[in-house]
Amino acid sequence: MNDEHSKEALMQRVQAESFAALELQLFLDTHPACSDARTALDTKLQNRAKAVQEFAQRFGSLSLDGMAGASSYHWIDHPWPWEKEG
Amino acid sequence: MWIYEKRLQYPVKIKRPNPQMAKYLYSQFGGPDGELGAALRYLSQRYAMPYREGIAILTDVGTEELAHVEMINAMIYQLTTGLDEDELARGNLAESYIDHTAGQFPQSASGIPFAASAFQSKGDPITDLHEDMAAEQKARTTYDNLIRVADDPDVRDALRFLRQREIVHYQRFGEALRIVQDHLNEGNFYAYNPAFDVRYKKQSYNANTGEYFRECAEYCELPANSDTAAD
Repeated sequence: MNDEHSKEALMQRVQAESFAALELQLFLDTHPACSDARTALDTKLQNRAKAVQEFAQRFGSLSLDGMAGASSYHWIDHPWPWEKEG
Repeated sequence: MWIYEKRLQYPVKIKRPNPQMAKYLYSQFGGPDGELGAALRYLSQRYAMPYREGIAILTDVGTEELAHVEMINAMIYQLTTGLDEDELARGNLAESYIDHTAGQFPQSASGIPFAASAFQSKGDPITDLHEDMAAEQKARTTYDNLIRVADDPDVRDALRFLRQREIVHYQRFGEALRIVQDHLNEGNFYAYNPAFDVRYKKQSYNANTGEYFRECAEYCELPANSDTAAD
């Protein structure tokens, strides 16, 4: 499915942006003064927040924080991450 | 503390069951060089790490390893879900089925339960970081071994991601070791253990810089040309 708003596509964006932010986090742990890395981290964190929000709006929250205002306690719903539809 | 995000760090989408492959993957769950041991090693070591860069990298890599445990669990699950006892036995999971049915239990591929004796938290930053670098190489070799025997591209894809992470972690721990050494005297890195011999006799915290100033205890052997601010 090529739809960029499909669950798989949005999840891929969340995973990709989160991974990019993590890589910068690990790099900054041992290079805390690197301003280029810090600027890049800011961008990745923004991208990640957008991707997380878009995913949550359409397919339910990925974390407790995102459950605020939810119409049902869908936190417990399938699929869980290890399931094939996860 | 730990927050959970209801997703995998990297996708695991395995279409074909393969209990034999699941058996092999158990070593990266509860085996001597597996992800669970890695997580506990780093998260345990961080409390004696005297330098903030070291604490940060141990915390963050340790946390990532927990996400890798989950990926291994996901792979085992997808490789065995729906299989009956005969199919599991054909994949050499008969003994595991007897003791755990379809439950996942932290053990090695050969069925040895997870043991903390596979790792160390030595309380000396030079020692601990060498332990960590070795751990990442052991994990990388294990992934090499798994990739050799995996022919399913869905399995190989996830394994290659996990293998690459070990190499990156090795690099980060090497940098952390250099940072520790930079704090010590190059004439003798082993003059004292900065995690133990620098006591909190006189300690002050600078909230602006997020750093501690600690005065060395009287009996702490300091190299001749360094000052008492061990940080």
